[in-house]
Amino acid sequence: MALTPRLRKLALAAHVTSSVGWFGAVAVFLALALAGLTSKDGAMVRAAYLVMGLTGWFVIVPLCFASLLTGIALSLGTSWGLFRYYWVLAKLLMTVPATLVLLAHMQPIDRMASVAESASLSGADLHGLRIQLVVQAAAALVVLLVATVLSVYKPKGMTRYGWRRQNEQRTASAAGLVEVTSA
Amino acid sequence: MTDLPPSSDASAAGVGPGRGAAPSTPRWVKVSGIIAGVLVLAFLVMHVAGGGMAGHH
Repeated sequence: MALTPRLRKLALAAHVTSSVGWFGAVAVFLALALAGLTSKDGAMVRAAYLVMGLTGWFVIVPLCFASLLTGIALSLGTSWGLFRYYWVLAKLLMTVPATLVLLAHMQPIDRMASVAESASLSGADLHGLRIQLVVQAAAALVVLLVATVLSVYKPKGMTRYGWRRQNEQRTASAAGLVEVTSA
Repeated sequence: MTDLPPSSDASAAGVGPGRGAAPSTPRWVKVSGIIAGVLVLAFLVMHVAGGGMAGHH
C-alpha cells in the first residue's frame, strides 16, 4: 500500500528521529560501559551500571523497535520496497539481527544493574561481563553508523526481485496505455 | 529514504537500458557480504569458544 505524501513525511520524521535517538542512546551506553570498566570510583561504577539498566529498557529498546517498524513501514509504503534495492535489504539484514542481539543481551545488562543495586563493585568484579558490554556497545554503534551511511548515500543496485517487479509494472503500465489509446 | 527511487531505474539496477538481462550484483554488495560473513563468523567463534556467553547464564 502506497503512503500518501503527508503520511510518508510523518513516517520519515518518526524513522529519522528514532534512528538518530537510537544511535545517540547507544553512544551514551558505550560511554557508561567504559566508565563502568575503567573508573576507580566505586560510586561512579555503580551509578554507570544502574543508568545502563534503565537506559537499555526505557530508551534503547523502544527506539530500536520504533526505528525498525517505521523503516519497514516506509519501505513497504513507497516504491523503494523492502527487498527491491540492496541498500534497503542491507539495512534490514543489519537491523533485525541487531534487535535480536540487543534483546538477548538485555539479560547481562540487567544482571550488572542488579549487582550494582545491591553492592558496590570493585575493579575485578564481573570483569568479563563488563568488557562484553563495552564490545557490544561499540559493535552496535558501528552497525548503526553503517546503516546511517547507507541511508544517506543509497548506493546503486537493484535485486533480482526488484528488477522482476519493475518489469512487471512496466509491462502492466504499457498494457494500460495501449488500452487507453485504442479506446 | 528522503527521496523516492527514480522512475526509470536502469542505472540503479546496475544494467543497461534493455530489459533482457538480469541486474548483476554490485561490487559493494559482494565486498560488504564477505566482510559481514567474516564478522558474524568471528562473533560466533568468540561466543562459543571464548566463553562470551557467560553473561547469559
